[in-house]
Amino acid sequence: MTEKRKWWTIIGTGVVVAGGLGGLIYYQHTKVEEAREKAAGLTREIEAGRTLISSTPDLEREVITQRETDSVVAEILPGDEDINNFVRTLRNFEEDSGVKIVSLKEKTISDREQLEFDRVAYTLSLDGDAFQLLSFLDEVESHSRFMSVTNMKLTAARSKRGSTEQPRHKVTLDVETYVYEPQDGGEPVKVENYDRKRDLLMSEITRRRAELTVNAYEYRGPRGRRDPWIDPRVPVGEDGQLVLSIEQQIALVDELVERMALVETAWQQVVDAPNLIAKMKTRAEFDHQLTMLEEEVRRVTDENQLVFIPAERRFHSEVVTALDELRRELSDDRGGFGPSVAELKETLAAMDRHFERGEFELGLQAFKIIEPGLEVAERDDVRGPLAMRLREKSDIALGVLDFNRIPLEINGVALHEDLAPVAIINGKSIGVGEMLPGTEVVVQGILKDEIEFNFRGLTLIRRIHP
Amino acid sequence: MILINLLPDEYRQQQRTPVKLLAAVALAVAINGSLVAWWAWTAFGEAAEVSSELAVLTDTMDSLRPQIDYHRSLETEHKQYQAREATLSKITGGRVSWTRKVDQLVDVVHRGGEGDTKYLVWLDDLSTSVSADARRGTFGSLKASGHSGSGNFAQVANFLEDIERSPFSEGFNPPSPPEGSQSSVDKDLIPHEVWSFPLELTLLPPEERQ
Repeated sequence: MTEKRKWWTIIGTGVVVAGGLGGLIYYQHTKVEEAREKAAGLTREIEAGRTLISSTPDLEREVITQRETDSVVAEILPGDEDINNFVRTLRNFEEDSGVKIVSLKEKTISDREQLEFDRVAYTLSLDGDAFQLLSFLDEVESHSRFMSVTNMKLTAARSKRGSTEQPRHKVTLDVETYVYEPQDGGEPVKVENYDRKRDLLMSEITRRRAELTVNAYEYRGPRGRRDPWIDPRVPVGEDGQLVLSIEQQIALVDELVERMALVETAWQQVVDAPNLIAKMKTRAEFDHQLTMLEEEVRRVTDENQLVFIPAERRFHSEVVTALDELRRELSDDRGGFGPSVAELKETLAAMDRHFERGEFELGLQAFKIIEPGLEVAERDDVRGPLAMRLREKSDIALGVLDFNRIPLEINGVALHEDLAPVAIINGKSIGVGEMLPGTEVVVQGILKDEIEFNFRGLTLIRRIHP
Repeated sequence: MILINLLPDEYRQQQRTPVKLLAAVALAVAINGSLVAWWAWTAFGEAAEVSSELAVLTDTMDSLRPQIDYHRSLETEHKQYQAREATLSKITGGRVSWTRKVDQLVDVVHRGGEGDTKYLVWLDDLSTSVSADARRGTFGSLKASGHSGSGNFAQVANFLEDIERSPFSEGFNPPSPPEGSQSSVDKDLIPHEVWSFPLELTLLPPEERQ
């Protein structure tokens, strides 16, 4: 081998080996770098993972709370199978509120949005007064299932003058509800010690449930208000004027309803009285309140003070009917014992007050209330005299009323110092002591401006109008 | 040409590797040896270290993965519930409580004003709607045909003023200005004169109604 060749061989071999080793080193270095990058990536991933995991307990609590409150969502917006229940519920609302549903039609809805909840709407046609409608709306809007009234049309009933029939407005309602259609979200994640964690979150779950629950308006009934869809105008009275304004009529009924409630409370106190003395004390107060109320009710009815139909209807349902029921209850409570002394005294006082006002018919009505038990009371030493006085007063009232029914046209009187006075009654001249033809009326005295009559032992005076 | 060395061994020039050559070989060996050492350090030192670090990290990651997966699953479930609650909130937020509104309207009509601003008003009908057309800016309305039992048209203004001041108007824009016409005179009824007027209110957007 020549020198030159040797050199070339050595240099060549050295370079080839060095190149190979360099390649190997480069390859190894690349691998190491790759591994380092991978390690850096993993480190970042681990960091991110750790950060993520550190928030897992919070997320877990949130999910547990949401799972537990989801039942509220499901209650507000139940599933498809509950649509039949929804219709049944509307029927219950109808019964409770007093409206009458005349038609129920499902409404087609085109939803542009894809929601987890399907909208279902019904168009209801119903009739009822304003407060029945309000009660129905209240039932709809406060029901646990979410329902919304999207459209409502009310046409007022035409009230017929003088009719006591309940005016019923025609109403059309679009009631909308939602059906919960959960999209496939897979099985819920299994949470370790779920029950224990849930129990620890109970206060938060309760708070969130309350937040999700839809708050409804608290409707408190008619409260003596008038129906705004009824023409409140009232017919002109005989003298062209209204005795009481609408507001006064409503206020009067309000007052009577309030007094009725007080009477009922007083009666309850009598029933609940622990001993005989307490019963007697409370009974006296009750009898007084009852008699006074009945007296007022008789007056309101007799004077026809209530011409505004809603007020009159309320008066009948909440006062007159309630009084009748209370009287029945009283009668049952008495058994065969008859009215008490206090009751007899109160009735006597009521009759006196009526007589003082010239309300003999009302006085007689007061007597008739107590009359059924009077026979028993008459046999009693204490109540007997009172019962007798009541009968006497009843006879007086009857006498006055019968006397008033007798046609008496006083045409004039003739008075002369030397002659017996004469009155011209119903076109005939009648002297003192004479009886009017065809009647039991005897002329007892004839004066310048009045004539005294005797009718069934009663002295009655009729004034002569100039 | 063939050269033959005839000198005895002791006189022959001693045969040895030339220094230059030796130096060159030595250099080559040194360089390649260094390279081998470098490679060895990289392969068995650095790479092994990184590999072991990677193995530790992979183990760590593997141990974390079930917890991360659990977290992700919880996140998915959470988002589903959130979406549901948001939808529920959207649905319930748009509702108008007509029980409240009609009850409040009945209150105003029944009260009939106070003192000098008294009125006797009743209605013929009522029409309500709820919509959410944000582009047109309409969100629903309440319309009614009213009557005022008086020849004094100012009573209609009194009524509309009471409507605007009452809780009933919450959630509505102010009512349209008073207008109307005398509709009838009936001598058989008290009051004799009646003025008819429209009652029109439009709903505010849902977020302003809350």
